[in-house]
Amino acid sequence: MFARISGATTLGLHGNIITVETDISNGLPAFEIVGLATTAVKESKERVRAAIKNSGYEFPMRRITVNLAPADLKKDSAGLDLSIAMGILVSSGQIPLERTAGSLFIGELSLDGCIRPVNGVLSMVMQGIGEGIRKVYVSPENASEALLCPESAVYALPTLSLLVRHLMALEPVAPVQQDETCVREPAYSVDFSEVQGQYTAKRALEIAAAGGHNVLMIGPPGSGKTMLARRIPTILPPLNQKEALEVTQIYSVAGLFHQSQMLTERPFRSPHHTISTAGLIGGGSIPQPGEVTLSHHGVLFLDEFPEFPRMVLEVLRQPLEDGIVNIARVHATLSYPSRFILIAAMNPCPCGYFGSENDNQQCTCTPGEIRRYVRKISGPLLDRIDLHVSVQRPDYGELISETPQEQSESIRNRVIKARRRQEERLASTGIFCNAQMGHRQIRSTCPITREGRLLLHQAFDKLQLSARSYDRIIKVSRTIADLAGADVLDEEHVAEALSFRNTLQRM
Amino acid sequence: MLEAYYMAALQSLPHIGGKSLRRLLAAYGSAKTVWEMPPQDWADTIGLVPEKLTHIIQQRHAHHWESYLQRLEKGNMSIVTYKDDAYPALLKATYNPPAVLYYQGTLPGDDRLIAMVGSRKATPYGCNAAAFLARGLAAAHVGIVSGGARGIDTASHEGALSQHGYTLAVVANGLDITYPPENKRLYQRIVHEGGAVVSEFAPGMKPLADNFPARNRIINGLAQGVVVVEAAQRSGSLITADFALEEGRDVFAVPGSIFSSVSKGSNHLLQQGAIPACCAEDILKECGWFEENTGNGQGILKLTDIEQLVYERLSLDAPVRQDVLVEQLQLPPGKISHILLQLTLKGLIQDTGQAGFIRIIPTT
Repeated sequence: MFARISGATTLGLHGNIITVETDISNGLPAFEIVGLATTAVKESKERVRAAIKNSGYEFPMRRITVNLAPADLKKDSAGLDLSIAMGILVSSGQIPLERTAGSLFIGELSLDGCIRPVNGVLSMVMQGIGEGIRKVYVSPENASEALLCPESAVYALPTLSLLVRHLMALEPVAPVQQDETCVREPAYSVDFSEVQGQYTAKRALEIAAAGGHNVLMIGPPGSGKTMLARRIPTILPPLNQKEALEVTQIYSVAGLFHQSQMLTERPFRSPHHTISTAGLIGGGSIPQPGEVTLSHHGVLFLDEFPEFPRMVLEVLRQPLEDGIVNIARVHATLSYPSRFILIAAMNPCPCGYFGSENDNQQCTCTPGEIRRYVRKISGPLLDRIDLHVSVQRPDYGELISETPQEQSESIRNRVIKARRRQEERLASTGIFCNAQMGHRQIRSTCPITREGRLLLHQAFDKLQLSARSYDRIIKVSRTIADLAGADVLDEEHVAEALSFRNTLQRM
Repeated sequence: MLEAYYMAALQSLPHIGGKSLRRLLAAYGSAKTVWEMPPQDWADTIGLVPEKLTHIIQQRHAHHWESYLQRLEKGNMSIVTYKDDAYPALLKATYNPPAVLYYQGTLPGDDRLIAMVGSRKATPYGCNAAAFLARGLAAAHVGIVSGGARGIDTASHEGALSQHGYTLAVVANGLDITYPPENKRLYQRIVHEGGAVVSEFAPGMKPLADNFPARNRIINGLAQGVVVVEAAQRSGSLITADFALEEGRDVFAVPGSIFSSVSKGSNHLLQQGAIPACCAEDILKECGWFEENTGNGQGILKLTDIEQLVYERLSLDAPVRQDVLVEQLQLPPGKISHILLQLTLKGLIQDTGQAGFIRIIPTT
């Protein structure tokens, strides 16, 4: 007997529908899986055998051959267990073939016949819908994720035997209904109003959020760099439907999606500085998404920036430039999206107190040490950071100040407005925020008033700015003007942008 | 001219200082003669012990004329010996002047020079004071001699350069090495503005700790007086002040905070009788260079109301952070940045980096 069942795996962020062909013929009892299966799939033999037996069905003692097509695609997921089990049950005549038509089976099996959740269900279901699948069978834990893809009928079944009884129409269950609140308002547990003082730093982060600029915060330990960075997602515009789906897909594939609803908060990732290159940009023999991909459409916060290994920092250059990472491995070359805002934080020197000495704290570093510390960040990487802001420890007066601080929401409203202006202006170029502008777009979209030009001229002579920093200052000025609702860059916009120029080289 | 190169080569040998070199020249007539003699023959003239002699023989053997001359040419270095007229007269009159000086740029035309020394880890106050005094002296056409190091030295050179004045940096290494490396641009500007970078060390010499007292001796020797800006207790700047006293130079000190550790040494000097330097006139008067019309009438600053408001919040002693100004004046941070930049471009204030903004005194 022969059966053809649909299962699925993921490769990168994309789902692949796998046709599971099962043939049972006479001969010595044997169970063979072919079609470039990895260990996880090979081992499914034992799980499938035990699960079928323990669910009360017959495991045929004949020659079983399972083929996973397409044969040239490496399969690496225990999620094929359920489709292999279905193939055996159908080809041994325990379920009629027509009952499985147009259905997709995704799930790992336990030895007692329970169906377990797997990663990347959203991608698999989306691909399945595209290939004409109408019914999806998953474990209850995966049901809400599968439902994020509209147009599919999702059946959640906890065990193999209940699944068979449903298919045989002995105990039919209804498709899972979509939750009412599929897209909900993002809820953040932190707010910018909790940060007293730090006006300059807050302003820099507002500009960064509005224009998608990368930021480097420099300040002594305990000055509030991490506190500020954590609040950046709260002033970013909410994810739109398309972005939310992309982010959810990434988290689903990475096995980090544990909610019942689509992700609506922008991701905030802060990997520790001992992270490896593979951990940051993605890796593995079949590459898994790294931190840059997990921060797609969100914020990647790198605290203690110079402590990251040089190699690890240098690989950030491609994602910062292109918004995408390409990872080549023996079995696959994958590209993951990685368009994020980089927020880096560092101390001004190894001991942390350079430039902010007082009677209690003295910087104990030698100039050589400071230079070595700052040099760990290469020029090309600094070139991709538009805003440099110095964060100082607030003094006591600022800490206890009663001055009401601005709420994240009102900052966010300004950011959303500024983003809308950018989208309209840049609509024809295929980019959506100022930070992505190249030299050509800068020239065509950034008119400067006469006073602004004069100021730039003076500043270049007096502050000894490099030609490289010119484009960065114009881009930041453009965002500041967008926040102010101005079409032409004026003196004050340029002046503020200049105050966030790179000051690291001077140390 | 050739004689100068032989003198320079002799001076680059270990254990040969200005004094021994002069004694050798007196005994044998010319540096060329001495160089071509085996060192054993002249060792007794200057009383060398055998191990030092071995050292010298080795080094003399290793001396490679071609690469030496190439280095001089590549670094645009010139040589001046104590026999030349161009050799600074004040330095020549000291107890043990170097026989040969390497220099880039232009040697001073007269003796109107003041040395400025101080801590490498200077406070914003110290740098501000050093630059202020240097600007005032430069405006009165007095040259500034300093060491090219970080902190006070750099601030002094910068102050003089801002007035397009004469400034001279004496370094403790060969002129083909830039130390500290971040001052490369500063040295270039000094030479470009008609100043000089000077060293008694042959090209290739690294800035060893032992070289610094020797350098301080030259800084002192070149100038009429020395101004100690910020000096900790037992610092190199105090050694320089001691040299200055031995050579009969005027010693000035800038009063510092009684609580600051980097001002302990300079305040101690004042207690011992150093002349307080609170403005350039104090120094000019002491040296007899003061003229009424050195233009100390400050130009009326054209500041807008709001610029005035911000300017008044800043002080000359300690930097003020931008956030503090935002809090006090209740203005948006963007506006404050704008005003601060305007004041910076007008040369009224300075960004100290991490700590914030500090006023600087403008000289018209």
